[in-house]
Amino acid sequence: MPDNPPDKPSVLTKEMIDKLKDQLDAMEGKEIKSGGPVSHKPGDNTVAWYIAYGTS
Amino acid sequence: MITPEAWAGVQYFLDNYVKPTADDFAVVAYTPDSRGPAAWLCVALRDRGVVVEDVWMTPISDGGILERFRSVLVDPSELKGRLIVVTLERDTMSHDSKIKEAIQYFDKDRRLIFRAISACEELFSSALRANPEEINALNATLLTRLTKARKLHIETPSGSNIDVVLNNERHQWISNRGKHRPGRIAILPPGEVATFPADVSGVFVADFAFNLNAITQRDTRLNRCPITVKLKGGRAIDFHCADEEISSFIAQCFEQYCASNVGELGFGTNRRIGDAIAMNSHINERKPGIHLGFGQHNQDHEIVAYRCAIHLDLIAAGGSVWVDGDVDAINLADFQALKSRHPAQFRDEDVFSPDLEDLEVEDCCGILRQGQNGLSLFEPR
Repeated sequence: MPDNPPDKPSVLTKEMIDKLKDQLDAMEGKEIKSGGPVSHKPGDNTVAWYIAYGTS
Repeated sequence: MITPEAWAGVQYFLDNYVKPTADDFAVVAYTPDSRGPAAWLCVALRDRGVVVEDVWMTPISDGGILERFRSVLVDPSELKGRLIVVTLERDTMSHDSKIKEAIQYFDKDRRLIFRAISACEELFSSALRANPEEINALNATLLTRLTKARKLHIETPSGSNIDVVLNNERHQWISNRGKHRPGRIAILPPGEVATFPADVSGVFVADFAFNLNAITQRDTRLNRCPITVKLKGGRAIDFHCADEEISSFIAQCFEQYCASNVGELGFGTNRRIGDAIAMNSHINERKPGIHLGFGQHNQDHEIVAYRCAIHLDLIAAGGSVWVDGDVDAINLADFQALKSRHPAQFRDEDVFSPDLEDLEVEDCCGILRQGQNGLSLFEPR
């Protein structure tokens, strides 16, 4: 069985975090803010019988 | 915003699953609940010199997704590398047919499509830290034994004791292994084999988590309040859970038409999954162990005729499987992967978009209701 290879260095630098923030800002500006069938979130103790996906 | 563990998982996913090159073109499509993980992937891909476009989509019902998706694609004749598509959703799996339609003119041997459900930090920090080659080897080992088996006896540390009859001539196996086949979609998180049990009886004790194909904010972990289910003739005939709220919730599930049927026998094979997470999630059912899926089955409807709106997975961690009376059991937590070739006859996808035509019903278990303002949720009790 193959072993998991060692992880490459993947330091989360300030530069990378800044890029992530910019990306998030750009994405949020494009989206519809409300509407759509799951904008109505169920409460903590309820089930929304909303079929979220099918199973095969 | 992102932890170092999740960021390392993003890199691991790219290194071991996607393996992008600068000639590739990537599309990251996401529902708003998965904006964060989508941003992580976009930035990581760009950092490797890959051209990437992000596409938002509303879950399940989105009249504009086809046009929005098409609008970001490059001309297939101008693409030197591969088209990489990664979709990310937390609770849902949406728009299969529209996405396939959008990319139909790209050579299927140069398309790589990963569709993730349960997008969250743990998807990257744990589930996608498992090497797909390792999962492939574990799945192949299990399938080599189980696809020839007729009877299984299964026990789990939680106290399960069940007997299963298989009909491998009739019922197909699913292998979710994080590896992509041309023309297919790889579902994430990876790590499971599953089939339909021709019969199952005994007592099953789920002590890890549940996973339901509906949206719930409940804590799904069962380590403090396991669910015990009595099974006979392939159906749940009784259950018990000491937690009243969970018990009431499970009772609501079993009240749905055909939801007491055991529609799936599944074995998780992702050894990077540790403790259960609270979120209603596929990550939990990839845990090495056994899960039974109640309600909708995983076979073609010509083979197993009933249809059920819900699919409730009850998951037990670990377990031992005796095949056809063998003395030695397969210990699901640490069996040795053999150099078996993965069987060629299997299905990759265990999750897909619901068919809205089927869901727009207003019967006793109406899932979505068609109202003046479009589809809306139906919430019982």
